Amino acid sequence: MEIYAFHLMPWPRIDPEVREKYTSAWVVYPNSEYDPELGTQLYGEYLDQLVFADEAGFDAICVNEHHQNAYGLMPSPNIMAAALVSRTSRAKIAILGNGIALRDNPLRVAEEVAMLDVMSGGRILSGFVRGIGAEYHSLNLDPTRSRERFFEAHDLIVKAWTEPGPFNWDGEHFQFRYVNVWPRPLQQPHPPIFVPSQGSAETLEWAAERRYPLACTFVPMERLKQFYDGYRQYAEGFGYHAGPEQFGLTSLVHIHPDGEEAAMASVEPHIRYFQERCFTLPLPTFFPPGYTAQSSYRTRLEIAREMAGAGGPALSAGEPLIGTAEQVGERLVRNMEEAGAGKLLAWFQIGDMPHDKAMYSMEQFAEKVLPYVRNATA
Amino acid sequence: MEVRVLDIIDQPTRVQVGGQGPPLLWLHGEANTWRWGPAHEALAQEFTVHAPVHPGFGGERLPDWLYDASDLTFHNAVLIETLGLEQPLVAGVSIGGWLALDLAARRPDLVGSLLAIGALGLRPSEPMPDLFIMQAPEALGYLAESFDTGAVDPLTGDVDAATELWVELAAQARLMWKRPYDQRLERHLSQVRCPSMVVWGANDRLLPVEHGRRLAELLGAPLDVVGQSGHMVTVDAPQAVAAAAARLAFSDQLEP
Repeated sequence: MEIYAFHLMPWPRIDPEVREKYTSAWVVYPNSEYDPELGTQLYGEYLDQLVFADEAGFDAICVNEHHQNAYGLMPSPNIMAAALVSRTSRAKIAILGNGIALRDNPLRVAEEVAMLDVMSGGRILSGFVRGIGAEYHSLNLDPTRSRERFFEAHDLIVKAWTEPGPFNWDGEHFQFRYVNVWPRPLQQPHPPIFVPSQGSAETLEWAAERRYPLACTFVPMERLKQFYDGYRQYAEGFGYHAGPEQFGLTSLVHIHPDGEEAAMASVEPHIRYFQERCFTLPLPTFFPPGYTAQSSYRTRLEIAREMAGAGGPALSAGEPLIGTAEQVGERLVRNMEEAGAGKLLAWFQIGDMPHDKAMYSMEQFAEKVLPYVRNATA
Repeated sequence: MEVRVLDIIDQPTRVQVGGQGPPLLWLHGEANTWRWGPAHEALAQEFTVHAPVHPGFGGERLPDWLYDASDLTFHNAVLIETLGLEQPLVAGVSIGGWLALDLAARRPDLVGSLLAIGALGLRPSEPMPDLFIMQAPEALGYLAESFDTGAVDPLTGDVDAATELWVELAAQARLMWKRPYDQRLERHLSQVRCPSMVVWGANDRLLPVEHGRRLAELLGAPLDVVGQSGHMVTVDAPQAVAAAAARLAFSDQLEP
């Protein structure tokens, strides 16, 4: 099993009345609410947390891309990855992912990821995403063309990495007379591609066909199993068996020496902050018209109704990884076995959780849970 | 009313046909108002109404060839010829009004007279409210005063109704997400030669009456402001639409 350190780099001072006053923490939440002085401190702390994960033996550290929001302050994941390249030496750097459908020039992604791969000595995992619906509002991109742009951008980037240039690209969405990306990536044939997904059938089939590992966030266990089963069935159709290494899931982790109740009390205000402020994401912002197929939208409505009933998205699939280090380790192994997943994206800093509290959990996890998991799954 | 399905350059196109009188091509607006309803009925008293469903609307898959409104204008020109309509009155509301304007500007030879109701298409002087980011009930409220907005709430309303509206909005997004107007249209409108009339809801919150006034001036057409109506006069005051169409078609002279 592989353990990644996940991060969103959230803004910790979102107005408590964000829903009433602004309707959303995305797209329209005014950037006058951002304080660059505090921002400097936060980027320092958040990067320190990921650098610690590298030193402490996590398999990978994760960055991701979101725009114009207070939920996650990494509009350019490649800039974050570059900062991490120079401060880390061992862990993979998982970009989960670049919003390749959001770029008017996807070759910039091919160039930047190739640069990162060369600079890091081949430590890049290259996630590709369409970008959630909110990004289509923020960047004024037609959501009805999102999926086809994603597919074409992917094909273009992979070809730019694997076939000798210069070549001509005359696509539906992108046209280049000369594709000839310098540098080429170090990893051959190219950095491993990862697909963070919200579980639409179209994406599951596409990822399964290419054997790209799937990573799901905010999906409760029952739905997660449906998504994985869908992927496995597609994989069988493509003539192979999809093993646990094809599946990743994100889970909140919080450790407290005094047991589950104390851990829950310690993390609960930060969960509430995340649910009530960071995740203030109205459905038309999350799923603008045409962003997904009609059948997938019906599933989204069901999930949205479940979320509204539960007060927010599922922060872990299966048993909550909140308790003592021993409890977290045992549950983690059980959850991963139940899901049939081989990659855990462990998420420590949530919402407005301060640096010290996140670091305590990470240190405990590194000291006690990592060895336990390595032993239990050896 | 009967439904015909025509093949327009390999695009199966549903056309609702009803009523008696001179030919009228009806170009529908947003929010599933393509369905034969009170405005169609009212128009059918005086006209033979031909009401096609725009490709991509009415629950249909969005065609790959659909890039912007001018593709629907091209489609509508072929449709008029396939239907064999001679100089029809071309009428439309909101996005359909945009299509009517665009057709009359690009193919003045095909259009007998033009009725633009709450027509989009011209660049507004102020940004339009963004219907795409709004919750569905709020967005419908901007379109008409008499819509049943509760049914389409994605969290509390009917799943089928909410999904149907979302799919219809996707067709609208294809045409107007990046830019909710056509920056070329004002120049093109100089080529409209047929008798025209502009109808506007007095309480239009999407595009205020001022916008209708500017459009009427560009066309040299009379402006009919309908009280007690929001943006989609066809929904809030269908009889007023039929009365305007009759005046346009049957009066010898229109007061500009």
